Formats: sequence, structure tokens, C-alpha cells
Amino acid sequence: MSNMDCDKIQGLLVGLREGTISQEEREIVERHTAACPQCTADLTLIDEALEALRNVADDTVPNHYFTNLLPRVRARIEQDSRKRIPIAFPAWLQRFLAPASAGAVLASMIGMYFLFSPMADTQFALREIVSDLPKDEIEGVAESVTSAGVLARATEPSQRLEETLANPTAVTRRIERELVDDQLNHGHSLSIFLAAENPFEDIIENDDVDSIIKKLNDTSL
Amino acid sequence: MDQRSDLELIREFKDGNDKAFNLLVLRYQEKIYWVVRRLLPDHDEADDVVQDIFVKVYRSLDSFKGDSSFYTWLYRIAVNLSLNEIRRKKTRRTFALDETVAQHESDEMLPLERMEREERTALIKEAIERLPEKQKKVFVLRYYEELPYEEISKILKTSVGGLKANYFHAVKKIAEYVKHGLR
Repeated sequence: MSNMDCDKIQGLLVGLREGTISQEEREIVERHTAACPQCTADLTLIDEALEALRNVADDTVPNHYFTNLLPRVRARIEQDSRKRIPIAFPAWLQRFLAPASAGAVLASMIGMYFLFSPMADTQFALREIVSDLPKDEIEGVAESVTSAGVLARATEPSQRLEETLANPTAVTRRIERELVDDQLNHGHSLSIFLAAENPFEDIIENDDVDSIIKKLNDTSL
Repeated sequence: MDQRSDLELIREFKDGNDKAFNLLVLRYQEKIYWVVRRLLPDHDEADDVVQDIFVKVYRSLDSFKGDSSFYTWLYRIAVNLSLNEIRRKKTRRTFALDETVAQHESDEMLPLERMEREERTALIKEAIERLPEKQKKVFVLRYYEELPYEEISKILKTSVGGLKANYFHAVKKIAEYVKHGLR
């Protein structure tokens, strides 16, 4: 008697007692159990289990439970609806909502990365500062290599940085100063803000905010 | 009794007849309650899950495509939410014997006979509660719901052969547990 036979028979043992197997299967099981003590023992266990299950007292349900269930389900649906945004999208639109939402989340994550990454913050701050300058001042500084560098940095941070930093003027110093203030206000590390050639290196690579502010205040712009 | 089929009611619901959902609830509430109750022996827990099931059905009915029968789909939701609740609780409670005693007292039974029956009942329920998840699902759907294996196979997305083996092991474990408990 192989184990494989027993495995097959086991699947039929309960069916034998339930009367749900075919006549042919019944004969196979009976032939097998007559010669297999293990399956016979299993069949006895099944008989005991089914007998015990038949004698189990039924569970009870509180009176009127099923009469009251629907109103309670309805109340819950109503309550649940109030928590949701009351927009009923048509079915065809709903099919696109999940991928669209996923795309929006991904796009906003990418946006947040660039917005809050130190370099993006620098670019953003530079754009803001430059755009706040009076037109004539921008035009004036735009003629200088420095301001061109600053403007270039606002859009292309890696390009012309060296050039910009090598030629600091009053305007760029002021811009840098504002930028540093901006960085301070946003709590970002200043050391990331500018590269090594930065003329303000001795100031802004210092992580001690108080000393940076002091040095900046002492710097004549 | 409403003669409309499940699919007709679902179509009506999708067309805006909200009341068609009520008929589906009334049609299946008892069956679903008992499936859940066999998996979660506590009535209050079962009641909570049953409500969740019908709320979920209400929310998802629009997306029901009819690939399987509504009944299969509903049972699948019921079994899954019940098992989620079991996992969430992660407590193996002992069956409340006192409650059973109070509920099933019969004046016709002798005290000793009644006590023995209650003890057996508690043991069986405990045995079912202790079954591994898969075996428990199969056992409840097969033994209590008397569903054919083919139907259970659609609900649980498992092969008929696997279900038969699970059912066999479930019944055997119950017998062994009861035998050991009564010794």
C-alpha cells in the first residue's frame, strides 16, 4: 500500500461518509480501507468527528437580528458616504481614476523631491531673488559676468558656477546674502548651497547658524 | 419572494435603482451571517463584519463584472473580511461556555446529559477555531454551507483536489482535538 494511494483515498474518505462520491469511488475506498490500517483509523476519526459535529448545539442569534440588519447596513452606508467626497464619477471615468491618481502621486513626489532638495531650493530662491530685483538693476548686473553667472545658475546650476563665484560683486553678494537668509529660514544646510570655490566659503560652510549670521552681518555688502 | 435573479437586481442597481441592493441583502443576509459566525464565533464581531461585507458590496457592486456568480463573489468577500478580522484580533479566545450554557438549556435534558453536550459543543467550536486558516475556510464552506467543492473552488480560487485534502485534514483534526479533550 503506497502513500500515494493513501493520499488519494484520504480525499474521498469524508465523501464516503457524506455519500457524495460515485459508486466506483466508493468501491475503491472500501477495497483500500479493508487492507490499510491507517486509512481505516482515519475513517474512524472522521466518523467520530461527524458524530460530534451532529451533536453540537446550534448557535443562537438575538431576536429580530435579521429584521434589523438591513436598516443598520443602510445606516452604515449613509454614515460612510458622509465621510467620502460627494463626487459621483461615471463608471468609464472611474476606470481612469486609479491610474490617474497613481500618476499624480508619482508626479507630486518627483515635484516634491525637486522642490525640497537643496539644489532645487537654491535654484528656486535664486529665481525668486532675481525676479524681485528692479528691472534696471537686473539689466545692469546682467552685463557683468557675475550676474550672468547667477542667472545661469538659476536655470543651470552646474554651468558657469565657477565663473560666477570667481567674480563676486556687490549685487551677487547681496543676492547670496538673501539666499543665505532664505536658506536659514528654511533650515537647510548651508554647506550644500555653494560649491568649494564659493567666495563666502568661510562663512557659509559653517553649520553654526548663529556664527553665520554674525559673520554675514559683519560683512560689508 | 422576489423572482428577479441576482444579475437582474445588480443591473437595476447599476441603472440607479438603489433599492435593488436591499433585495440582495435580504436574500443573502442569513447565509452570509452564518458563514461569518462559523469563522468568528462571537455574535457581535460577526455582526460587525457582516455589516462591513454589505457596505463593501454596496461600494463595489458597480464594478461587479459577472465573471463569477454574485453568490461566489459575495462569499469570497465574506470569507476574506472574516479572516482579516481574525488576523486583526490575533487572539485565540476560548469559547464562551457560560453563554452557550445559558442559551441552550433544555428542560427536557438531564443535568448531566446537558453538561456533557455543552462540553462537547465547546470542544468542537474550539477545535474549529484552532484550525489553520485555509482548513477553517474550507471546513465552514463545506460542512456548514454544504457547498459543492466546485463552488468552493471558485470562491477560494483553489483546486478541488486541494480542497478535498484540506477538508479531510480539518475533519481529522477536529476529531483528534475532541478525542483528546474528552479524555
